[in-house]
Amino acid sequence: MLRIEHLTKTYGDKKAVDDLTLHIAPGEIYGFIGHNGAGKTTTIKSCAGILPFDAGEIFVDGKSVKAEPLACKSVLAYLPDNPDLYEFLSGIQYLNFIADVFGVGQDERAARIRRLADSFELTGDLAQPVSAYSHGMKQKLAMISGFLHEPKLIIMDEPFVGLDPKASHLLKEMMREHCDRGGAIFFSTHVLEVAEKLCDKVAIIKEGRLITCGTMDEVKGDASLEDVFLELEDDHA
Amino acid sequence: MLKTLLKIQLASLKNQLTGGNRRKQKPSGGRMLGMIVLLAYAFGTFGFLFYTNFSTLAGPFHAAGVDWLYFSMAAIMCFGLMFIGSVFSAKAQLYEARDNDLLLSLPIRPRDILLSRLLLLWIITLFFGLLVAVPVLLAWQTAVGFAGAQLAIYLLLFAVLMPLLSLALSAFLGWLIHLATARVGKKSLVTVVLSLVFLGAYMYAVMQMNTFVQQLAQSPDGAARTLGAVAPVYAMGVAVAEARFDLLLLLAAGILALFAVMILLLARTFIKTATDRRSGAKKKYVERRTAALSPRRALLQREWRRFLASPGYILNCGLGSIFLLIAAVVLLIEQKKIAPLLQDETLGLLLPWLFILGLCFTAGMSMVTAASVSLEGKSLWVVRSLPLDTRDILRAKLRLHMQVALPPVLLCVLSAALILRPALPLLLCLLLIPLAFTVFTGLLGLAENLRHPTLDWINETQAVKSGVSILFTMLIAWGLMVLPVLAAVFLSSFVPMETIGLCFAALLALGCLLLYRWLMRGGAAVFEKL
Repeated sequence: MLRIEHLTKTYGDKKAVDDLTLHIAPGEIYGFIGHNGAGKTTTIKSCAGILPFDAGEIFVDGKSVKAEPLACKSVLAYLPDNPDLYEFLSGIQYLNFIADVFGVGQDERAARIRRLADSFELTGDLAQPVSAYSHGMKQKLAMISGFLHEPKLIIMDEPFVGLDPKASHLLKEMMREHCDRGGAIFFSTHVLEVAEKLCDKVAIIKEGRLITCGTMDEVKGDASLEDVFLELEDDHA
Repeated sequence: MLKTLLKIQLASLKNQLTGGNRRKQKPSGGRMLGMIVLLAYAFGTFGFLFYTNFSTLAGPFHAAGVDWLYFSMAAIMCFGLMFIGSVFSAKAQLYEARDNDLLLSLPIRPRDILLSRLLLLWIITLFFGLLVAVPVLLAWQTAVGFAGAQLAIYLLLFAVLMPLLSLALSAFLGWLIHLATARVGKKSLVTVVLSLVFLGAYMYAVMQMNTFVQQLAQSPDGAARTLGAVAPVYAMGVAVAEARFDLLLLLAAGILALFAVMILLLARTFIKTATDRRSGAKKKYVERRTAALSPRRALLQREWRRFLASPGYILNCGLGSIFLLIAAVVLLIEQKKIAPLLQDETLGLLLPWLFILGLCFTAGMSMVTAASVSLEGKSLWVVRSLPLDTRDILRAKLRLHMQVALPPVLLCVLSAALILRPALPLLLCLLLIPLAFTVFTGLLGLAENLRHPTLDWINETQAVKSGVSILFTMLIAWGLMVLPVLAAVFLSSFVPMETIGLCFAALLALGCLLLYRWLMRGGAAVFEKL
């Protein structure tokens, strides 16, 4: 579903991502771990077609992000770490805008918005302007917009930060269901316990370079993911 | 701490003026120079306007022994411009800045946050004030000449004390407006209406100035009494005219006391005001069947909603359209007064061209596109991550400009055509020049905003008021209007005016074509790299 091949991105003299290769198959929840400034967000933004990169290739559902950006974006949803949404719209107006862009029909969108907003307990606030939303509510709205057009691939940057425990639990369930239906999820996180329980595969990145990747068992064996992460960080210091 | 906050505010102002953004940390020397030249041009244009007006007053007032009246009138004009220029910036800068929460969470006294923001406002206020104060000074120096301590008192009063007075009152009024709009649902509408009322009042005062001068010519004592009744204004005039330090000290004490009271009041209420998020009753969501739109129509709807939700955007980038709508109605109402002017041999020939010029000048104040990229701000990721053709995003911004700016222009043209009843060539000029000019302004605004985006704004005013692209677009568009005027001056003896007009329209159309081509290729590429 998502193939990152030898991705390299530099900012001035600094290599933010250096020759990164990762493959995420349909049905997989793929966790992306690294310290602050390791290159996670740069990689994620490159995959979402927001950030141009210097070398390598990224394929979404077999299509190149460089050559066919619109085709790639039409099958993915990107959720950033800080959901700066349109504050001049109400929640429902924002969702309708997203549905219009993805060509979701009237009846489908109404049913999906109802279901998703009810799940995230945001229905009562949909008429409010986004500017009146709290950080968590904005994040929930961003989640709903992400699932609204039923993308094949969901790319998320720190999705659990700011969510309340109930919404966090709901999101984990939705992620699992999405992948069980054949979709794929690629997300970054600092919450290693969540990654350990939720992810099918995990990749650890440091200073733009991939340290290790594979299934959870391959990466951590009998140890905890936290121990492995800290050990690998020290080894590559 | 105050010093640090001041540094941040000044860095923010510099960033806005030089069009710096995340990718272009340091503005180039050329860009800085261009900015200085354009600011000088703006200063020169407005300065010339005020210089011309006041140079006709200086000599006669001095001869009539009412020097104080000259400086009193200058004080009114100066204060009016400063106040109008800063009152809505005050509201946005002080209470709606995005970093208010962050700063308030730090161990910083609210008074210091307030003072640092006021400094930025003082710079804006001073800029507006100097637009009047410098030409007034030059006009007096040329016609009469400053004597003794007059100049020192004038500078202290006009460059230091008056901006403080304006700042104190605009900050106070900004506070009142913020309180008023925080409790109503239609914030945008209320703010736009209030702004137009203030602007209308200022323009009325400016228009009354001519009446006042006429009244003065007929009855100097009566007119002087009228103005003299406003004690502070009279005192300002007398302080400069008679070089009275005692009056200056009195005024300084009054203004500083007012400023101190305002600071204390605002500092005490700052936390509550800046964190007040109430906006009327919570709207209840009722599920409705919504028509699905195509992506292009959805983008246009998004642009419209952004425009209508922001009073700052409407007032700074759509003011020309509001003026033109008013002008179209006024023209129809006053057509009986205008019709006789057309019978005059010279005026009859000149009037249609003056109208076209005025129409273009006013239409040039509508430049919706010039802030439209900057307003994407930190939400830029939304459209960048969606399956949208960048050219469609840019086209939606252009369409909004056309829909906001073109109908008022057409209405004005229609009103003028009904009054002027021009022959076909003149009618074509009347129609094509303003239309081409309006389209050109929209395209130029978008191109300029792509070249000078301000995406890291803390409050929206920075994007729609202080952005370099707004200034560049307005000055370039207005500057273009010099071309047909020059052509008319030098060529009208050999070439009919209608031919010159149609050639200018064709030139604008060519400019539109070239700009559109650039926007759809280079411009789209620039947007994708923001």
